[in-house]
Amino acid sequence: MSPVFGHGRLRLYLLKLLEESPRHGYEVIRLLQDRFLGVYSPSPGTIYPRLARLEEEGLVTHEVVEGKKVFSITDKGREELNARLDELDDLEQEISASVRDIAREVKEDVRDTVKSLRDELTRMAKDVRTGARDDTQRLKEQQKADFRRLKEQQKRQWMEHATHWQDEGERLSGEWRRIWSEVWATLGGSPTSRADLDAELGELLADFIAEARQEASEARLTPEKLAELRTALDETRRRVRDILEG
Amino acid sequence: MQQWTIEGPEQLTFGQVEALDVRIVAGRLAVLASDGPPTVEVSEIESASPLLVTYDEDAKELSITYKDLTWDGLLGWLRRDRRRTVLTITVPKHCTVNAGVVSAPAVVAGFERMTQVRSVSAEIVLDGVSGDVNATTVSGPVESRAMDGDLAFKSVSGDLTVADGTPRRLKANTVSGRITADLALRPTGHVTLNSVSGDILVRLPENVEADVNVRSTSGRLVSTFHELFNSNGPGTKSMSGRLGGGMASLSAITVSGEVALLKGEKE
Repeated sequence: MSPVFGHGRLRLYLLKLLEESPRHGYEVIRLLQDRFLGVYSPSPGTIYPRLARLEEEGLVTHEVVEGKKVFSITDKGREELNARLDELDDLEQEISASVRDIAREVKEDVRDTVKSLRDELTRMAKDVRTGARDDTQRLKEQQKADFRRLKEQQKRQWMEHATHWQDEGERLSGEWRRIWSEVWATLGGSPTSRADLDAELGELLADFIAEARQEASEARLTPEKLAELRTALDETRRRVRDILEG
Repeated sequence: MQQWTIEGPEQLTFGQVEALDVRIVAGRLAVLASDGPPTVEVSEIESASPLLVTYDEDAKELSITYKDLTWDGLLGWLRRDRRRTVLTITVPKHCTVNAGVVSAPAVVAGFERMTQVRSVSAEIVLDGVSGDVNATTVSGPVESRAMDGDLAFKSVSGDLTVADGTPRRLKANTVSGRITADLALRPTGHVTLNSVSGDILVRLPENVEADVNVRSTSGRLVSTFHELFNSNGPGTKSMSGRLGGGMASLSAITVSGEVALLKGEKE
């Protein structure tokens, strides 16, 4: 347990939390965690017996709401709290000191994480760079082999699909157009503005998808709705193409 | 509207706060999210002009600044007197945070809504900050851990390091700052990193699903993802391709900075 809670101070703080408003046991636990920014995390095994003890002494009482115990402070509890106000002030002082400690710890912790990450990635990048020469050679050979394999494959496919050559031809020409326009986009125009535009389009798409997913997760999705959505998306796709080609 | 003038160590507690605006020059700043009552603790102050704390109960706004320190004037303070303040602030995690420092290192932790941090030369540490985050520095580094949501970073020479980041949108622009990022990408993740001469180092999980596009005018491009396709055109090199099934997107562009894309562990 945190040193903040020596000398029956947890008891005092519990009274204070219940004085603010009646609360569930789990709410008390969560509040303690939050006030100490997760540094002090009391377990139900610590808190529930304490609350029971306070109740035995007549300082708190509980009623059952929707099957859960809601604790509230009694007049006697308020009396004890008032009698120990000075102590409470001290306690809050110490909590703020511990908040300052937390801030320092967070900072040191993040700095360590970040530094070791930077070192690690720098080392990795260096390893890649020194290995890059061999890699290029290896990659070239691999590509050559891939190419050969692909050619074989295509040849076989060509034989198999000879009868559908027309379809295939159309598909290929579409593919070529795509590749060509991509290459053209890379070479022509000012690269930065093109990249910015691409990035913006990407963001729009990402937003669109995120929103659609969000809405879908809230709604009831049926096969009928899905079919309808497919039509709507097809239409949108056509419109996008029109805009891009126009 | 309540106002306090602070000339020595002091501690204040407030009612509800939904927006925080804090500006200091030198010293140290910590802004932490907490469900307890909003507090401001000044533990050291060393300044000719007092610190001004203003709390607007109706608007639920809390502002802490020097009377004569405006956002536009932040830069000017570099040359003038050193005003040292050590400030620790706790406000609820849904609070919007607007923090500005000249040379005081700042820690901001746990916020979920909108966080804006500006610094001239001071280091900024962001821990577990999500929502919409905006960090701008001149030469100060920004170090982020466990970020989520949107992060926009801008700097002249300040470095950006993102450890354990799951960005929805990460946009970083720097002139000579170095960008180091260890990222996991969700299908809608969108990452754009731009630098002129600063190096960019990115690590992605082995099983990442993203479309990658890396370009540089003269910087070296390296990658441990062999799925990426290199092409060297006149005046520009590029490395692009689809990792896994694609969907998230990552683009990195430099003029002379090196870009390294590294493969991490499986997510």
